Amino acid sequence: MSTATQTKARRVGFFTWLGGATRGASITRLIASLSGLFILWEIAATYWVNNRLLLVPFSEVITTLGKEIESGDFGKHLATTGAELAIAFPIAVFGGIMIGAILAGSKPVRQTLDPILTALYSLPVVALAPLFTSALGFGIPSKVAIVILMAIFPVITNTDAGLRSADPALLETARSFQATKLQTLRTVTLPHSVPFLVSGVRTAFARALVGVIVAEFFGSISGFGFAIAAAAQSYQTARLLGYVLVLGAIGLLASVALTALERALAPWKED
Amino acid sequence: MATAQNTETHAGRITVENVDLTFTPLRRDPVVALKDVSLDIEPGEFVCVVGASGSGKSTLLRLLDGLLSPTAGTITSAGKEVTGPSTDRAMVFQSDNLLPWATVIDNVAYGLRLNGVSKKEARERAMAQLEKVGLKHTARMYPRQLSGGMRQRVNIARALTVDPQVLLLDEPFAALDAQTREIMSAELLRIWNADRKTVVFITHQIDEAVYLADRVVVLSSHPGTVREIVPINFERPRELSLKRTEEFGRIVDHIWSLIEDEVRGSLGLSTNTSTDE
Repeated sequence: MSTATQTKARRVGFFTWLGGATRGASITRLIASLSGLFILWEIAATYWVNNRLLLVPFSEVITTLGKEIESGDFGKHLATTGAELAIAFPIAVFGGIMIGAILAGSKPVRQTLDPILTALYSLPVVALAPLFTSALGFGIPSKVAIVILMAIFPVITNTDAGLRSADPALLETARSFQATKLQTLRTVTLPHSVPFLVSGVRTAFARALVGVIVAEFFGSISGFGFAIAAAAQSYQTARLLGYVLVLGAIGLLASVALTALERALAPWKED
Repeated sequence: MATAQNTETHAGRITVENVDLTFTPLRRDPVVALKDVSLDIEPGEFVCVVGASGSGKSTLLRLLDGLLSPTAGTITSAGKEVTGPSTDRAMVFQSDNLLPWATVIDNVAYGLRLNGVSKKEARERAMAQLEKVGLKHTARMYPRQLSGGMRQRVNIARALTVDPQVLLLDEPFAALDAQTREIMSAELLRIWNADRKTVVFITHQIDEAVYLADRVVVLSSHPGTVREIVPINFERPRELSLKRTEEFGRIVDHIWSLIEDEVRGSLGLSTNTSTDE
């Protein structure tokens, strides 16, 4: 007779736990929301959308993706897109930090370059993709160039903003303790700009992912963008969605990794 | 001029001679913040500075620390002219100004680390100081985990850790609630009593100034000049109950009468005693 109340009590306990801040709870929430999405997808594709050009069931997408992996096609595309990102992204981050630091350090340079940078940042760089393909060919170099152009600007802007926005009160405190310029940079300005940097890198990665796929659309011989374009042209919706699913997973993983990185680099900035 | 021995006896002494400070902002009229200010502060003396807002209290303190330079006149500390911040003097700012990314212990050790003291020694000395202000248990926390009163005590500990001869405090308790402020000023007196450093304490609380100080410097505003220096001769150590004595109230009233007009003026109220309509 008391089993009913016991079960109830345990259920309440579970939901309280699920709403909590433990690692287990957040992983459970992530799995729950993803499986919810996939189940909804499966049901919608089976009973609601009859046009197989638009939507195929989740299970079929996974099967198709499995075949792609088995045939080695997936690995080939992953290697191409992965190489492009692995070359371009570090260059964009490192170069962005360097340029951002120069801008923050020199007002004349900043004032001179600012209009150009703002224009380039707001420009849809992917529109230039055909030009890069004509100039640099169908291979990796043209994609690397576009990814750098897409990803570098948020890093520049955020580095510049982070380095210039340190609390004047903290700078004055450092000065009252006779801090040298280098000490002030190390103890005040740099720690202050860490969260800015991480957020710049986060935006940069999202833009890099878009950049690499669109660049591959416009002329390539392999890569995820090539595979998606090829699948679209031959009406293989399951294959197309399979690669899109992988891109989503990469985006999610990168976001989780960057959040962890920010926690590690800026432990004072909880919640 | 000053021999080594001379400097020794001057340790903690501050002199301000005919100091002017005029700010000249770009494309705007110059602002005279301080005009012909002279002041001698004895070693080990506790001096409070009060005045209406705009009287240049904080500006005076920044001049004493060397964060600002006077446009005329001279300031000396321990017999030497002040040309910039020095380890002789340590500043306690109004907002606690703790580094949010450093733990409490590293914040307290900050001044020592900037002056080249090894991490180990700096932390040991910081820990000893934290113990004196009763915050040893917070050493590994981050500032945001502390209450306002605790952060301000850490801020004071940070200044004391560099072992300055002069402690400069810029309205350190202004952001705290009234009860916390009472306890904090008693606490400050206790810390000061232990080794009697020279203290210059800026405040807008007149009763706080009278309770703490050996002398209260009253500044008048626009431009900031010394209106009167009021000696406070109560016995030490002082109890908080001192604030309820008649003599205490009389001194507070006197100082208030010196600045009331200016406070009214700064609020745009009529500044004279004309109460007739």
